Amino acid sequence: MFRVHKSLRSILLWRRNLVNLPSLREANKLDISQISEVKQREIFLKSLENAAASPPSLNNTSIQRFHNSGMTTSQLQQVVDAGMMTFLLHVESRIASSLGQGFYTIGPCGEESLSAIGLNFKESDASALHYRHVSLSILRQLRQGRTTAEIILDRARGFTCSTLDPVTGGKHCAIGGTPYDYIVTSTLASQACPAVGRALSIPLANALRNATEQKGGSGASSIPIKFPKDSISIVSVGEGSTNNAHFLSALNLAEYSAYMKRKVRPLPSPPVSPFHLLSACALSAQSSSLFLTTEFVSRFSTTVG
Amino acid sequence: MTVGPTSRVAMKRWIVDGSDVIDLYSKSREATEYCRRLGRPAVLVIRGLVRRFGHAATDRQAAYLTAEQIATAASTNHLAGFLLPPSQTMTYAADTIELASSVGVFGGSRGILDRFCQLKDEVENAFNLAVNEEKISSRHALCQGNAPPLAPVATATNNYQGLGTSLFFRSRDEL
Repeated sequence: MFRVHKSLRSILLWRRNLVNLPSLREANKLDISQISEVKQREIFLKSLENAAASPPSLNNTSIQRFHNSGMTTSQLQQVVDAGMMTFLLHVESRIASSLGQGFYTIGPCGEESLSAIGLNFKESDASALHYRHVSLSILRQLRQGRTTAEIILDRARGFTCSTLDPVTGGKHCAIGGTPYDYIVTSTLASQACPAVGRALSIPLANALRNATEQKGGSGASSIPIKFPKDSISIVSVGEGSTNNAHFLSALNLAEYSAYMKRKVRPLPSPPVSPFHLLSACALSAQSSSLFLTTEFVSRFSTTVG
Repeated sequence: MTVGPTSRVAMKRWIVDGSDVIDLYSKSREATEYCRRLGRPAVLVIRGLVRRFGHAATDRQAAYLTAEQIATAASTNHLAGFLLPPSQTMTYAADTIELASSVGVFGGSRGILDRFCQLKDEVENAFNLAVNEEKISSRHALCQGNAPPLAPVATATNNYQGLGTSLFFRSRDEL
């Protein structure tokens, strides 16, 4: 009796179960062509072909406006790349879903131009982007030197729930991939409050380290701080979320923090030991978390500047 | 953020046209510089952002939109608004950059077309590969990735022969 080695048997079984997606696409060509996104992709492709065949005339006003904005041609090229990748990924996700191979299809297109916002973000800015900011996330990764092929493969893995998806490991399909990205799933605005917390933590962490250094604490400069002092925290929500309590609470906290920062008069130097600072934080937390955040930050805002 | 009523927002806010690449770039630069320089919160309100297709593949748009609304949304391509001349675009917002080819993006219209085709191939190849990669197939694997390992649980077992009690540490995974 011919005995197949256990590992070879596994390989043979695995290969028998492989999905030949190109063949599936070909076999279902007619159905796929009826998908709205696919139709629009073909229309767009045809338009690009027509433009390539007869190059358009110049519009000096638009060109002047572009140059006046300060955006460079290479930056615009990245915006175009991110926008096209967003659109093509979305179309393919719908095709994969129709063939039973894709499992996440939220992201309806129309937001491709938003990648231009990402040109103003630094790599160290904390971002929590919701599902209509794929192009912005892609542009962030392009600016960090990742190739289009790498970014596209990561997104495809998200759509197909591969365990190799670097963001969620096959459990969801979320935007992210850099150490400064914070995952937002299909949630409605609950990403807003933690984003405000991150914003408040940036000056706090830097102030804690400065206070330790002033006291002459050993190894203070080696205390790792994830966000430099000039980092900002970015969060995005959709229109529907603007009536969600998470979003309204986050707005309230952010506005109140800014208000308290303006109103607080200079205070004496805070306790210099990080331990004392953290103790004060823990004690006041028992009274009111809202006041904790504003009072604590405003204290440091006046002394650290 | 896309915000409906902006009057409730007390912090500084910028309102930007979601179809205009230049407006998006310029106003978001002002907003981020404001936040970075002053350490204050701000809101960027993006208007005119079209939802081209259904929310997800399961969205039955016909249940709440007319056929004309669905068709208009689908054909509104802001990507085309700054890549193609007005005569060759579908519905798009005015006052965009209109022609990326005029400023040399990818060397012009032919380069943009080639780039689009190249990216299309990359996307298809990526999906061809990804569909055959391993997926989570057990509850155990899902829990392992979602939560830290459970702490060991001490259980006491009685020896009915009266010789005392033994303690065994067991992981909850074994239960």
